[in-house]
Amino acid sequence: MPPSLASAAAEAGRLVTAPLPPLLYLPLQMYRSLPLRAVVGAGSRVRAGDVVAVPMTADGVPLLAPVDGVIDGVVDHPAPLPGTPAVPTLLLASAGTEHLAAGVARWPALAAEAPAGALLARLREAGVLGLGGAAFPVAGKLGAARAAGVHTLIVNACACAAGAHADAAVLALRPDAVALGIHIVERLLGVTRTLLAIPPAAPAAGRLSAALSALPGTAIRDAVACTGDAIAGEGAPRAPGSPEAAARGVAAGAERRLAALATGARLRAGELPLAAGCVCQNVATFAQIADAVAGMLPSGRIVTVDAGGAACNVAAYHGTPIRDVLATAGAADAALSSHHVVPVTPPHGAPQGAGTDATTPAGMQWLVGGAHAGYRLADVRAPVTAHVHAVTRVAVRAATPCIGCGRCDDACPEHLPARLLHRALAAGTPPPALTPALAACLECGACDAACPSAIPLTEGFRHGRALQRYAAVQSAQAAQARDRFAAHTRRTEAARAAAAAAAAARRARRQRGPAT
Amino acid sequence: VTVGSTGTAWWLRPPADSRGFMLAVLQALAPGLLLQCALYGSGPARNVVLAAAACIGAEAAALHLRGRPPAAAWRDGSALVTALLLAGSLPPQVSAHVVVTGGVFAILLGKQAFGGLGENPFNPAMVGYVVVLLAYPGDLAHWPAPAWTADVDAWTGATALDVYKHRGALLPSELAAAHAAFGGAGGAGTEWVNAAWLCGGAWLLGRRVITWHAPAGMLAALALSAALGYRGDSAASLGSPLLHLFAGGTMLAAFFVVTDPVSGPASRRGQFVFGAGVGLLTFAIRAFGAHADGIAFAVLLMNAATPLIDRWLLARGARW
Repeated sequence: MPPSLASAAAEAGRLVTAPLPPLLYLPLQMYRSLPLRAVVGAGSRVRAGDVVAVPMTADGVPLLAPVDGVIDGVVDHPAPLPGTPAVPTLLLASAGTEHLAAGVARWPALAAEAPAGALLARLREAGVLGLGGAAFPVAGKLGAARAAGVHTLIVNACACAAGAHADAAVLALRPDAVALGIHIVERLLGVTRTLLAIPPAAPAAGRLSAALSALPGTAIRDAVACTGDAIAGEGAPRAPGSPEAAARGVAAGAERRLAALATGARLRAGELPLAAGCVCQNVATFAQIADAVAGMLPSGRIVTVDAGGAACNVAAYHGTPIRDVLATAGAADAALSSHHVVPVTPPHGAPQGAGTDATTPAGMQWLVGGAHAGYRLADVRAPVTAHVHAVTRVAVRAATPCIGCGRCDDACPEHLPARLLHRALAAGTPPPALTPALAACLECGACDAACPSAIPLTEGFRHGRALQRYAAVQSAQAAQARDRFAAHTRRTEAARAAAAAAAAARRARRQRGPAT
Repeated sequence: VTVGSTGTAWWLRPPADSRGFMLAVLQALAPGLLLQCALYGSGPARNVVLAAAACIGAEAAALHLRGRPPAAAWRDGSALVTALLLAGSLPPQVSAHVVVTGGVFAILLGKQAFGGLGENPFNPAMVGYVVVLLAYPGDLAHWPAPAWTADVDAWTGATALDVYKHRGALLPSELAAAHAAFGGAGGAGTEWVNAAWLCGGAWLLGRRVITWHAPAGMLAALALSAALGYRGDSAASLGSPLLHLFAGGTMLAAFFVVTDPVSGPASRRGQFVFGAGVGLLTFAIRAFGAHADGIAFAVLLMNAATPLIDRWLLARGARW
């Protein structure tokens, strides 16, 4: 991670660094279910930055060892992924050389003005992932944006409303790196406009502006204040400071909403900001882009720990168990022991008889992400990965049956029929009329915040969306197999027909033969 | 932080949980029920007690049979809401077994048979009301005269809507002069009870427990169709809009029944369409049907149409 982190941490005073754990856990699956294949066996000695796993899909990036160490094998281990209890995980016994604060130079530095091909190749080889929460490979996203042509770059610094969020920390601690990253991406994409999306009254914005003005040809052309109210527009009036308004603030940080706000375009369900000529990256991602271009290894990230009191930013290596991060942040030990594993009751799908009487256990629960858009962390032993931008403790009320009050519909920033969706998912597969609505869900959690029955609606929608994606993959594979079979049949029939024609010709020749 | 706590007067704050929603509805029903007690004596209070016992008992028994904690029958408050709606629509002098039958059928047939709270396609109180209306038609056609009228002959008499339906060749003005059942605008006594329901409903609107869509749809459709059928003071007249708005159970239905979120459409537009359907059907049954008041039938018919309304709006891509 960041070269200047140590000094910056002292300056901010609220950033602590998690110690290098003896064992790092590197999941062989990325957030958007992109699988990886390990290329090192147990006992292999690796250096920081060595490739330890390669992507099995074209849009993936390699997984690099964050530190020097010895590979300990592959086991199934809890993962910080929604609805996934455990995935194959590479174990790396660290050699104990700390470099999180100083950073480790792994590749030759590139100039910010280097050719696009070289920059994209560097981002791919450095395995840079988006740090906003979706962990999408940056090289793929920027490459697609460059090919398609975009006019607006959105610097997203408003993913969460919490004061000590990782975004704000990066802006405060590393304005120069963020500015350099913005400069690199602006040149790479040839955008004409850059927008900074930031919560109102964020003091760090000034530092970024100063850092940017020091760079030639770069300036934030516009700032978008991302409050819930700015985005909400329609819908029932809401008191500021209410959970719904906060949840809308989270929704405001969703890149589709930002793109719509920046361009005035209305994106259809499932469309990416690219369709509106925009590309959106988290502010921390820009710092990591600058690091990778300078040849530094991205070996960790800043995680915000919010245990209900004052939030704390923790810098941690990729693969550090979240439990260690919580301990570093000083989250109460009791929380670790008693809520170490909270049984997760699936809101939909599980055979629980008729009706939606299923209740979730009440108590405290750790979430990956913010209080509104976060999802349940099933096990605190799960490691920190690129998408773990925050870990938040929330009180979970016991869910009671839906009384159909429609608060979720009113709260939804995308105006989706949340109540109908919830009912349809509870009953099984949603009808085709509801499929686009499910695809358009931002998973922002605004409906959860509004629900008087404390139903975990977003969890159900996330599950439904995953099933939908799975079904799409399945049907694509089935179609592929069908096409292959049809092609095979055509080929065989053509071959058979050709053979038959040849045989007929031979017969004809033989019959003619004696006559001549 | 409670929802909407900033800058909202305490008595207008929206409830924070689903129990709060039920409690708000119970509180909003109180003025109408208290007024009924003031007008008709202890009868309405007795009905409330009987209906509550029947509904909560039936709900607890059904929950027990379904293997769920029976305490929810009392705790979530929904059975009590059903009981109060039923008691509010039954005449004060009906026999105890009528009230109990209504309450038991409302819960068992209208709610638990479909899976309990949140799963019922029909409004439970209206199911219970229709069961006793069909089983004991004579008991439900009569209401007592309000306490202030000294007319001993009208100790219990036909309701204003019933008298109006069977007016024969009499002019509406002659009818009003001859019968104690009529008040200034609607039924004698009933018009004041309706006004009390209206006040309770307005408070629910203010607390954002309900929205204006379904009540506005119902009252507008009922008033509009009544205005179209109104022929002034002629025997062919189908009743003035005021009579239709302030007689029978109009306001109780508009603010407490058609606003039921479980058995009504999900979208706000759908709720307006639903309310309008109830208003139209109510008028049609009152004007041309066999029953004096048709609200319960209208609500059940529109409940049946609810999935169609939802699907229709969804297919049209309506903004939710």
